[in-house]
Amino acid sequence: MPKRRFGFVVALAAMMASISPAQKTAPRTPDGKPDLQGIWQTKNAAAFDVSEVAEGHEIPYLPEALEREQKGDRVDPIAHCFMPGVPRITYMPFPFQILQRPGKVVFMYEYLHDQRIVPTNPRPHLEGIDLWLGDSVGHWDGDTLVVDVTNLHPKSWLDSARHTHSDALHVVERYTRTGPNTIAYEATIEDPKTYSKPWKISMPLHRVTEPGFELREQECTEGDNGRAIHPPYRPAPRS
Amino acid sequence: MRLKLCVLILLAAMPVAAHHSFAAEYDRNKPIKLTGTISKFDLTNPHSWIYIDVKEADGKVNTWGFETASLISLFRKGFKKDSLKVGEIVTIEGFLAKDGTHTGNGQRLTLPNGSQVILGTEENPG
Repeated sequence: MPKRRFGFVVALAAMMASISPAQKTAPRTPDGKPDLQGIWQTKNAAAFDVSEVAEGHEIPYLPEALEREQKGDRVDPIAHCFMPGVPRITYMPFPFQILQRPGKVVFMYEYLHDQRIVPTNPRPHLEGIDLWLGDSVGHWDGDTLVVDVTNLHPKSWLDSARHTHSDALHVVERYTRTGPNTIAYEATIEDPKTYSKPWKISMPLHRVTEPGFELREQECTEGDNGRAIHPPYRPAPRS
Repeated sequence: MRLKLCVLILLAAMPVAAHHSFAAEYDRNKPIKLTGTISKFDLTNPHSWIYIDVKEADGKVNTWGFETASLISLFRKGFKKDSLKVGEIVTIEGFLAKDGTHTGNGQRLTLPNGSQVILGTEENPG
């Protein structure tokens, strides 16, 4: 065997030995990152009441935040076609597509044609602006995409059940590919002006496997019966 | 000469490329500069609004509304959400609305400390 080829084989063997079993099974993009690309959708009722997917079905409200919520607006902002915010955009009952390029992960949501272009190289968050979808900065933690989200608009709600937050909301999302048709999605939600401690939601994202399925237009026009689709209600407390 | 005319027409047409027509609502030939107390501001899209209470020559106080560029355009020019405070006395320069109301298109705002906030540009008022 010529020396050069032998060297190549040794290098290849060394490379294969360094790949863990999880990395072998998880699909990869050409730049070696876990491949999350595809069209995904949740299948749950979190958009109506996020406590359905919260750990222990509890949201640890501060008493003053509950009081603020009682006095606040009673019409769901999405009924006025405002963007749903993060994490709500993930569990809106509409599909979204993930695309990856080196250094960024792009989320394209059918709902309101919203998009998040998430850089995966570190940069500081924006300062002095509230945005309906916030400011997202990502990084890879092993096989998991972690997205840190701040600058979220205090007027957005987490669901139609009027679970609210302040401008101090900080969401850390984790996307982990768990199979050909599933991503495990987790979000840690912290807001010292609203909750007594950080709390967590989790849910699977399901790949839309229908052949030829494409994202289409999902427009929202103010007054277009938004309230009929997402009635403002709060379910009875669990006993 | 013809080229000059073309350039002039092009310049005149530029604001039309903005979100909606500047020329339809505001009069480029009527620049205004008003000083008043901020009563409210709405950082909304596609345009934000700043309202100031202005004491007129006859002593009457009128609330003037100034339309500005979109929030993200303001942010890119250095505006932060705490740049304005209700109750602060500011000076706004801009152009008067054609409809005769107390409304204007804001171009520049001067804070009490003398620093300026860009609200829009004549070429692209938002």
